[in-house]
Amino acid sequence: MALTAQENLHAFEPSAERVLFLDQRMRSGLADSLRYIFAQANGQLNLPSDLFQDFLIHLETQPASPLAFSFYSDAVLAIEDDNLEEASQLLAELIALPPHSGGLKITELADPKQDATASRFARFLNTDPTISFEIFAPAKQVAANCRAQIREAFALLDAGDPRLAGEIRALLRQIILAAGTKDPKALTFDGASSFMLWGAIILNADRSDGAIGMVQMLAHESAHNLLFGFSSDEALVENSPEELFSSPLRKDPRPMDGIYHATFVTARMHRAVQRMIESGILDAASQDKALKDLADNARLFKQGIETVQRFGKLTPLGESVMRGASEYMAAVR
Amino acid sequence: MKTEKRVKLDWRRLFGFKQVQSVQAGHGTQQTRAALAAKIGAKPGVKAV
Repeated sequence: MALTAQENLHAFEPSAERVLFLDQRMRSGLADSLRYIFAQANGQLNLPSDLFQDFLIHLETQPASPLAFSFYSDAVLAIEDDNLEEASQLLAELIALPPHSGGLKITELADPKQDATASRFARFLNTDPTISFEIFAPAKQVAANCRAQIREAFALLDAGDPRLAGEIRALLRQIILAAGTKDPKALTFDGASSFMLWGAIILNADRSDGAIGMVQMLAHESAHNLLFGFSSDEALVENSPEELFSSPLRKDPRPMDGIYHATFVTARMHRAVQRMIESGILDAASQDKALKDLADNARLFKQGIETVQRFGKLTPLGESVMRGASEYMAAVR
Repeated sequence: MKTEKRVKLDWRRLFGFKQVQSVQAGHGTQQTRAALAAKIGAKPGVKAV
């Protein structure tokens, strides 16, 4: 597929075609970097060249597992540590990943203490050195209930916001159902995504906010992935990671990149709820919750955008992307 | 004693790492991981139970 950027690449409105381009760009960027690493290593990595080259061809032409990006990230850091044995092992595991058949898969996290893949997912979703939260395998019934909620949420999206439904299906390769701690003193998580797990989101399957809550969760986590796709080659903000600010979505202060993400995804959640309400497909109880959530999302966006406008050092890309969200929120006030 | 790395990588050419290249020079891997986490790392929605 030719890599041609479409018009309005950074538009706020959802677009499945646009995210197919972003996915192709992410995979091409990964393939180019792997080629560069292989050339720089000049035979010092213990990798079969023919299998490596075959993998790169598949990577550029077919959907890829989100895990591919995580193995690459670890391999770069192993090379930075001058640990070429570990880098070789990581790259060998990368090229041995089974091909992804495309489409969106829903899977359940295995026990991270027993399963290497589950441990990898957990580690990449727990990268912030200032906080730590535990991730477990979900109970069977909890996972089954969450799968039902996801089905209901997609039914609502298909009926009320088919453009967002199409974008989410094109953007996400894997939804991983997991569980958090119930320790009253500990942090837990609702959902998470990571640049180096492109196309994956992990959800806390133990949820009680119904299909309209799941619609927002899917809008939220997919919007993080959308921002990752936009920022594959350049940052959204130039603030130092050490500068921390109040977040609209979290109690702990966050770097500006996190504030930017939270603000943008809140606007996307607002848009999804607005479409559900306007479509007239919600029952009375869901409609009540949607109206409350709509007001909450508007308030949280206002908090976030004030911080972004006051303290954010946005790149031209960051300005362009946030402009769409701000214009949407201004138009629906 | 500081030794030369066997494989030298220019982060300006590395997918996903370009955004954090400004923190690479003179920093160890731990700082690099922290910068990666802040710029392009996970975006968990966390809360107290």
